[in-house]
Amino acid sequence: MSRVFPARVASVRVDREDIPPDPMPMATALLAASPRVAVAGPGLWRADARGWERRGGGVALAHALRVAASGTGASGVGIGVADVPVAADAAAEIAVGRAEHVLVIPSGDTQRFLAGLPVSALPLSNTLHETFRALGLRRAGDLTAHSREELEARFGPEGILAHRFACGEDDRVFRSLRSEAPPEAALALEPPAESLEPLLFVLRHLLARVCDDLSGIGRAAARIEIEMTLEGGERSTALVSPARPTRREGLLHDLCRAALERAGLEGGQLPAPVTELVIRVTRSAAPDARQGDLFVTEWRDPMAAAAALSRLRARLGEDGVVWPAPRADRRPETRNTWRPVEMRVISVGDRVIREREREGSAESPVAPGVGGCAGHLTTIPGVLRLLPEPAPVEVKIENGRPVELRDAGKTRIVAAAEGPERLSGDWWKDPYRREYFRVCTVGGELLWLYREIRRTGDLRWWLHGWWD
Amino acid sequence: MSGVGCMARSAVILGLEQAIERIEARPRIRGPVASTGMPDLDARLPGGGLPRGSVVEWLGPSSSGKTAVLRTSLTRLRTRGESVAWIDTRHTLYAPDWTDLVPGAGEFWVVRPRTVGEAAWCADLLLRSGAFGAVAFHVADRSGGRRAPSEGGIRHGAAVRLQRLAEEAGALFVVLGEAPVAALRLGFRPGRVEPVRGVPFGPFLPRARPVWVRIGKRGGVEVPVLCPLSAPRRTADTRDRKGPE
Repeated sequence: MSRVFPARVASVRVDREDIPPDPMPMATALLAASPRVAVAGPGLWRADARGWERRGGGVALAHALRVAASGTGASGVGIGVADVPVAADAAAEIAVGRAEHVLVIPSGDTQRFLAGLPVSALPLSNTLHETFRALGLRRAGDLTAHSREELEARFGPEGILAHRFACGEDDRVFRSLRSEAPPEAALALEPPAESLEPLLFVLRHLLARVCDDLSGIGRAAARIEIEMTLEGGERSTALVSPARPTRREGLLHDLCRAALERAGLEGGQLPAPVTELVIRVTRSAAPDARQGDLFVTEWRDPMAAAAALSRLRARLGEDGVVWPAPRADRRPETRNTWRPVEMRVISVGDRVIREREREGSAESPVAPGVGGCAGHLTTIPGVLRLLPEPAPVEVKIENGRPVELRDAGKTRIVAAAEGPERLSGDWWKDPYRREYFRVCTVGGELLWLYREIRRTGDLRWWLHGWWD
Repeated sequence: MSGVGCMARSAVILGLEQAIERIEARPRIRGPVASTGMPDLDARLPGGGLPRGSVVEWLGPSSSGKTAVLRTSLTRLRTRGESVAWIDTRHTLYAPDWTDLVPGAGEFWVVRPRTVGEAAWCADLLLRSGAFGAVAFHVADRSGGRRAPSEGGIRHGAAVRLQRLAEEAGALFVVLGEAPVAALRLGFRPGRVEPVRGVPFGPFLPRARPVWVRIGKRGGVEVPVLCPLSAPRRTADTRDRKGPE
């Protein structure tokens, strides 16, 4: 076991001829010891020591990796264990020549270890390496002897990066070697299922396997495809999209069950016996995990919201759960567009949360559009309620303005009106020409009317909505 | 007992009964509240805001400003990062008026059920999740008159169930319609506008429209609060000259 590293390293080996031709056995063995193992180069492996503090730290990890590597019998490999990738990569290079094939960089010694390395060990561009060599900056420690501002002034952003690497500041992640192939589970049914009940029984087991696989690769299902092979070879497919990427088995089961009921059932029976059921994750994403705050009582679990919204969508359909996404169009009914649940919103929300946390901004004292303080009258904007289908009304006109309207046997006297506001367009597909009036009745109703001239010359009045 | 004594006793009992009625009718808010975002209204509301974990009855005819005031309250919750859901049974919400509730922490969702029964199920599911700071439930049936003065209501059993779920979730549950177990009732009424004749190119819409909000329970003391609504803006930013001839 190598725990102590040389204080000064003269050179780092790059070209080797004894690299194992097949890295798979080594990868399998190392991943069994730790999931955070990645390829650092041909025959080189880097391992993340972070998170091992309670299990013995990097030394324990190195021991586990050494045992795993020795089991494969491979030679010519190097494994670096460190807190940051740049140090782990260099340690892996050095470890190649060691009997144990493993070199550990203790947590507090990263910068000291890097200081002795040649600058060429840092992952920088060849141009910068040549420049450093020409300037006599041979080792990473030579870089840290200068301030970060000096390097920035001379070499720009890459100078800052070089200084950060030399100081052991590396934001790159330890990419896992685990396969991120979309999980899939299938089962042939013998005898074929003729009703939904046996399918649901199988579905639960398949989903359990898929969720386990998702958990193993640190992913969550954003879209699941359920494929049923019917007797005779015909295939039927149903898609499930949770509101947020998730690997909660119960939620996915509910959604898949609803999708199966929508897709396959006709009067409680399947259209044909099902011979095989396949559950396939066609789109995966990083799980959405937000940390709650013990002292923020308003915080609520977003995954619970996602579960509720997913169940609603499973029952109400794609358009059953929406958020406003108005379209840039002059026709009001076209402008009034609602978009189904999408994951894009999540990222927007997260970004805003982070921005708010960074700014440390408190909530605004009053809502947008509301001004003033207690004791003063505040004016708030009215909200338009748009009828899904405009309703015909009879309107009495004086001096070109509506003065009275009759709707469903009820007569309203117009107290004030503004208009006309002329809207027209879509001449190439569905032409319209309308004159809108905002009308205030004596009773205080604020209505939105329009008159429309059709090609026949017929003039009709319609009630399109009201402000509430 | 003499006749005068009986009369005095009856008067005392009557006075006590009336006092008890007043006390029972007055909304009592003990738990946390959510601000409406309108200082005038908050100042009059018991507890200084809308009660969380309770059902709030939100009544009023069309154009009474009830949607505008509720939207302002929900916007306030959204600025605090709380998720908000609106069950739009009537499918009459106009998307451009709700876009500023979308960005920010938490989320704003509109659920569009097909029937009132389905809407109650949606409210049950949303409240049960405990993930929403507020759920607005527009009860009115889509087929039930687009501008009926009464918006309809939910059955007593369903209301009790939803009230319990709102209490468990600590969520603000606003019913736009009649709710039998509501802890608070807000009644909205538009101010009367007198017609003006003989004004060239007019009369124009008033810049602000008065709306009265009455706070209290059924049969209780109502506190009127004036909430002016600004006049709506033009629909299109640019005027199209090609109108009906």
